Amino acid sequence: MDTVWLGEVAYREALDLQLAYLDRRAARRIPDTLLLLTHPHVYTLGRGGDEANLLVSRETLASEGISVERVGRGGDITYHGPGQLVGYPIVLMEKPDVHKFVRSIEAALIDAVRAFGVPSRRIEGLTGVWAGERKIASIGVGIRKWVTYHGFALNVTTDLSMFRRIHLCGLKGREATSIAEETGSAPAMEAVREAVAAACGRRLEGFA
Amino acid sequence: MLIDVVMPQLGESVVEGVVVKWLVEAGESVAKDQPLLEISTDKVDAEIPSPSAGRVAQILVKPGETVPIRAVLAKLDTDPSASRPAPEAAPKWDEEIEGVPGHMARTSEPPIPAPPRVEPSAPPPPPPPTTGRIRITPVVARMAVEHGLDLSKIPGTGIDGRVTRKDVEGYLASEASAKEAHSAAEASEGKPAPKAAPPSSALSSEVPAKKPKTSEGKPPAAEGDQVIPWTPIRKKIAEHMVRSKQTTPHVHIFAEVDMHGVAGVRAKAKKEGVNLTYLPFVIHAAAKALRETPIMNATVSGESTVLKKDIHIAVAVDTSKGLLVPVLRHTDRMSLKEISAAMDDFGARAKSGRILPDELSGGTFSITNPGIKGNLFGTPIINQPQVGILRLGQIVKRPVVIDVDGEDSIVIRPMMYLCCAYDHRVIDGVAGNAFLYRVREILEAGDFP
Repeated sequence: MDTVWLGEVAYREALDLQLAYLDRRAARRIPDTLLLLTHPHVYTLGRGGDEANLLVSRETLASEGISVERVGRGGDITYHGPGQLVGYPIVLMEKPDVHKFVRSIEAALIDAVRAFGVPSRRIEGLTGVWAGERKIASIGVGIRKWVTYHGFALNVTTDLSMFRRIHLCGLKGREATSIAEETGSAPAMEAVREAVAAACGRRLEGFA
Repeated sequence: MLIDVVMPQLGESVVEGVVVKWLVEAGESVAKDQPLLEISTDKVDAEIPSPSAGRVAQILVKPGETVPIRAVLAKLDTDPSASRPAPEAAPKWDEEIEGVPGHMARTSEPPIPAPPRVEPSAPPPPPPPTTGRIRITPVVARMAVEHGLDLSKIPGTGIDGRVTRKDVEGYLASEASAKEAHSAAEASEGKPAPKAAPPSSALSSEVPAKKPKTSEGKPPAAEGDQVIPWTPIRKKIAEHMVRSKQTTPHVHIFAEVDMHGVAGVRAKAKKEGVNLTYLPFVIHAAAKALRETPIMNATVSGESTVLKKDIHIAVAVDTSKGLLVPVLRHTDRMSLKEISAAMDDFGARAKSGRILPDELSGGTFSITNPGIKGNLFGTPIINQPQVGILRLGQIVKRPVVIDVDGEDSIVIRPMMYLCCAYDHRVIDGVAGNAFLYRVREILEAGDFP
């Protein structure tokens, strides 16, 4: 699997990039590719997302320069922003196994955060990676032309107060956490990026 | 004929899905593989492509309904009169049928060097207060994941107690010797020694063979040595280089090129405020020469040579961010200034990481310019499945003998060794030499529009 570090990319722009990669992958012109990046502050609502889960008015957010985007993925509301490593695996699934794919992303992120001293786990029925009862990474995958897009967001040094302004993924009372919050130390984004790239390289092979 | 569009099996444990929305209407003509509907399972949304070209005869499931796998979602009329593929999807299909073998479908196109890894332009967020922080380098992070380690359990000997590469290596070595003893004890029972980390199923058969073979799969490193595990990109480059050398008998030929004419054009452009490097001149000359020597602008596919209609020169450039091989599409139609501008554009966008994969693939010939200093000449490796590559040497002022008004004279000229590698399976000496001679001729003529 190839890994591409894109730096900070606006949400919409990143979506266009994903689709460009997806088309090339569907045509078998490129290998499976993991896009790694960060987003500027943005709240995204999935197709079924309830705007009531956004606890702050759009006007308030707009005045802070934070956008709210409605996007064509599943899931409810989530937040992306600085200090959060976002990964979009563009993986061709010749024989699709979407559950295994999501579990593999979870496994990769569990491997990656373990390197930083954070024990984490899955919770049956709740997609994502959890450190104790708090969510450290969220996952939302889409498939088009039998190629995956969207992916995961791992909180590294994310400003967690941003999550208190939403009901995370529509789940009331669920809290977010980050590697920095769990360990009291702030790892370099570059280090986390390498760990995540290595873990995804191992776990996300063999879907084609 | 009416065929069923069924809810596909989306995984071993997936038994049902919810229809999110239809992307087509009953009565609509669809192309094969055109997305028909979106379904949702847990958090994964998938678009279901049409199994065939045809007309949507009937839609059987409403949005919001939950359907088990293999349930019929719609009926498709594949009668030829009914099927008129959607215009935007049809060309893709034609391409796949008529496309040159090895161009479209192969996964082994020239390696796509990843766009360079660049730091985000925005400043990183301020780190939270530091209490008992673990700071590790990317290399250590990668090693930890590769070996399944929790770094907080490894005593760090670095500054502020940080875990260094040496600490991880020491830890692994002690683990390994412990395991060795353990596995020796188990050997009589025929159980394999447990690995440091559970390998993913796909990698387990592949990786050990590629890694240097030592007793523990770990390269031997003496005190103070530095072990750099290969990144996926490095692995890809390594594999590609070995494969190229193994499959292709390379012939390397050299031309000594007098760049006097080119230097003149550069000087003139500079006066007009245009900064040109030597590289675009060589690209331009090569494109022209390729048009005249089609065998050099080719790819190998199985036991066939495919003469490519279009000339797309891939230019390997070592930037500060790593090796990049952008492809200049239809290089032969570009002017010198266009080539120069395109290279500048690639360079600028490389810095922000905004280069798409298709800009890095599909080359039909390559040129490499491995820096200026201390490179008198070198023997490049062919970028498979292409059959030729040019390499620029350093441009050095030298006394040379030229003909001035019918008399031999010694003059000082900027000289460059240009190396051409060609695939001797496909190209014979005459054609290879003719190509290189022609490139030299064009450069020396210094006639650039």
